[in-house]
Amino acid sequence: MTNESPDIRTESEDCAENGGCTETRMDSIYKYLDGALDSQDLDEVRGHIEDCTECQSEHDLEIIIRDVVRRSCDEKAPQTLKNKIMDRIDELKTS
Amino acid sequence: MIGTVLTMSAPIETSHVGQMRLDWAGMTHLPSDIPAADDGSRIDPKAETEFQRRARFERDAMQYIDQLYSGALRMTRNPEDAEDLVQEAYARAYSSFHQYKPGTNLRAWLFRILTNTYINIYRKRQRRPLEADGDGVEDWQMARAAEHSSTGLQSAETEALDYLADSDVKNALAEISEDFRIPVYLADVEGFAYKEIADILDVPIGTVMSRLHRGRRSLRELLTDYAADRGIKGAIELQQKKQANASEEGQNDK
Repeated sequence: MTNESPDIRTESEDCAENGGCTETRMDSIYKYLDGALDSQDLDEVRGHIEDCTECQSEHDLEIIIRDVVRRSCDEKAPQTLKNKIMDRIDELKTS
Repeated sequence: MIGTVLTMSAPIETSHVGQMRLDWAGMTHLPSDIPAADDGSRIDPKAETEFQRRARFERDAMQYIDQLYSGALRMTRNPEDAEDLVQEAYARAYSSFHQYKPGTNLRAWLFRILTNTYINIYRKRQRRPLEADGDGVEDWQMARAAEHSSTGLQSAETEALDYLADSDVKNALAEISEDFRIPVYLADVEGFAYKEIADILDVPIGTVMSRLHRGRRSLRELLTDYAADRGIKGAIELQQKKQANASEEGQNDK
């Protein structure tokens, strides 16, 4: 990602000692979980998450949130909807 | 009018989420694209009969009905409109199905039609403002989210998140303005990659990334608020249960 890629290589260790996780760090965690980092950044971010308690808990919390959201949005379409759609398509075909 | 509204330029190409998807994140994620064994890449849509096309549509496109319905619920926020939206989107998809290139990402193609249909019909119809002005992520929310991250969440609160009722989670999502809600849904529930979301929503990839960031931030803020509300009771009960178990074990030891 060329997109204003944060310079995450200069800082390291525990974010709590550096005034807390920044939005930049949070961005890296999102990208990490999204599988959107190139291999170099991936190693760096993974290493940081392992070392930094704060980023680790951010990372863990984000995983919980995604699980909870996925679980909650697992709706099933009403049984009748599929038939309605296929009927509508058959009308389209004949018209 | 059906079919004319859709200007599906290039079909969304099959894309595998570039590098590795981390196991835990990928575990429950749907892969962005699963070409079926008989993915139909040898099918020539121009040569097929209406009957064959209908059968192919029913087999390939209708399998995503639950996902489209769930997506439509996030957009319209009520079941009746969601049903209508899915129905309309599928009708349009069928009308354009000859333009869909077999073997490319059908799920993303359908989501793009769903989004276009929503924007073209429902959003125009909903004259009343659905959200407060602005992007829906207030500065105070960002500040509080940052505060949460700097102090770390209380473990009871984190635990409570896991036990939030589905309705709470859906309400929290519904509270986020749709510019942020829809990308978050597409990424975190549907597992689409940034590029796919950019194609579905027809916005630059950088916009997708910044909307995701803000959307996730405000979702987290809302969810932790719900969890804090619900969690206090739950945390107390959990604590009592643990104490009870501990004293019971203590008794047994004697």
